[in-house]
Amino acid sequence: MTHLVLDNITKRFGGLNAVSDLSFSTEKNKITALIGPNGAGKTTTFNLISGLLKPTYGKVSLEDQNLNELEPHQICKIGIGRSFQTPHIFPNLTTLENVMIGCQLQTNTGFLSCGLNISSARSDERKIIDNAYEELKFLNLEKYCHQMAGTLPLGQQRLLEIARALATKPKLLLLDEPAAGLTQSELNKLREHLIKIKDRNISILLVEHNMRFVFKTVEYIIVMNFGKKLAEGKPDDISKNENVIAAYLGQSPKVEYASA
Amino acid sequence: MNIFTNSRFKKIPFVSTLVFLILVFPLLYPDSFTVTLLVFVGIYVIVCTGLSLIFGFAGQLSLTQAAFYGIGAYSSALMTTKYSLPFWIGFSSSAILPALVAFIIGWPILRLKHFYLAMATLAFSEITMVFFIQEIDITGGPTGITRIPPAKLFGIVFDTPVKYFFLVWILALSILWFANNLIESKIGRSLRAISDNEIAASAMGINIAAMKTFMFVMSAILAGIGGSLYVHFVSFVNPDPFSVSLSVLLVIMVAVGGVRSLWGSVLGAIFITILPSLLGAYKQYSMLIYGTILILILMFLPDGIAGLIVSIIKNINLQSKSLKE
Repeated sequence: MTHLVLDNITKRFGGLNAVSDLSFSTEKNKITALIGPNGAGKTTTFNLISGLLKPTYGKVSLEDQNLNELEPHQICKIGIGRSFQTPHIFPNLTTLENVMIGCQLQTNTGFLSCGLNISSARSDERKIIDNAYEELKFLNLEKYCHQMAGTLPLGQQRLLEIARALATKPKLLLLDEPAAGLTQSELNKLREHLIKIKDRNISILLVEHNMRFVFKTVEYIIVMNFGKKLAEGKPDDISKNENVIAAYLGQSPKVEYASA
Repeated sequence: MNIFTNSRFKKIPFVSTLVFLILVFPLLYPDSFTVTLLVFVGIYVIVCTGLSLIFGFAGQLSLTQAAFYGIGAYSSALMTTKYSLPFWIGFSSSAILPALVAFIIGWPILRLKHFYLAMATLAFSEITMVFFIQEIDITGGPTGITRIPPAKLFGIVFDTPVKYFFLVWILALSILWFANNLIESKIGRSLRAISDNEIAASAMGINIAAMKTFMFVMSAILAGIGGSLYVHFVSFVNPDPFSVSLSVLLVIMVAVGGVRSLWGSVLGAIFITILPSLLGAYKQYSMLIYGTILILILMFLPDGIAGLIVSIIKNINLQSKSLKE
């Protein structure tokens, strides 16, 4: 069952096509990876999906809902949560408050009830705190809950970003290099977390450079190079795909053999 | 394990003592000059609370608070003199008109960031000032509007400084309470998130443009209310007080008091209102002194006087804890 659909997406920055004519779709409740050499346009694609950038041509949709005309905050409400390549946490908020920002999307107390502090606003606040704490516990972050988020180590900041995105109750989670800079044991934990997230019926699309991690974790891979789609398929097929190997080694293996 | 200790309840004894002290002060010490000064402090507390919401919490430097203060002042003055309407209508108009103006200019200019926003709000202040001076038919030009009747509510005429003190401070304290609830709610959290990282905030579903506009409108309403209280106290209005230098002074008040605390706006208002009367003969140097204080505060106390007090209290708590152990 298709979930997120990119239909002939092109993004042009001046004369440069950062993404050209890219089409792919992801399936529901699966972990999909978007890989490719540096500068292939992966992060640009993420920004196009989450609404930070608008495509020059083409259409992005989630469950048949067109996302092209929507602002980032509306796309978040529709059900796409994301993390960033360099963690974009709120450094001057506590870990718990960071996640509460995500949780409060589910409540709709108006500003007057907030200002007058009536009981419905208080019970909503209580609910926000409880949900946020649950999300922190889900990723084993609860011991940091009153610590300023800016003081957390990088690995925890990345997890916090995921917790915060989960708090918005997404259908699809976009993770931009979640494994970058993590140690081997942290990587194993991250894999467990991703599988737990998948078990909550949340689909995941991730960009990642750690190939061992990708091939062990994901069920489907889309490969990009120079803003175009190079290949897609199951991890086993991708690891044998000659075009993909060539893109990563910079040269076609056949040519290399011939000249040798 | 209860990890969610509500700090709000710990503050109750402290805050209620403070409120009590403020409200009994004019009864114990009914000196007309001091009470008048405190009326102005109260008015500035209201205006500064508005500025603190948009500047301190949402992180948007607005140099147009004095213009909204002026718009509120003139609309209340016009309603009660030219149209001879009762005070409460003038007072309401002083909230509604600035809110409308803020909403209309807020949508376009709040897209600007940092100094560009400051410049745009500065320009709006100048435009408003020109309007006050040039539109003689409406505003009375440089001479302004005189013989503004005193405030009258529920049959009480607030014609002495002590009576006016209660009107202003009951309003100011209610507004502080409301604003404090706002910033401790999800709205305050969203504002802090916006001032920390706008991209992440929008990816978390916060409608940044709407939030900023909303806070801008709130700050304009509070400034307008302050303007109305001002003109009904001094009973005349001319364009002089509403220049850009007042906007700058208000920013100084908030920064000196502490940008990330509502108490900061109270402390800042007290400090800046009382300082000139303490200076006596050296009054003409007041701007020089304000500037010096602002620079020193920004260098050594970025969280202002309120931040200093908070860190002193924390230190005392820590020391008493370690003594107990």
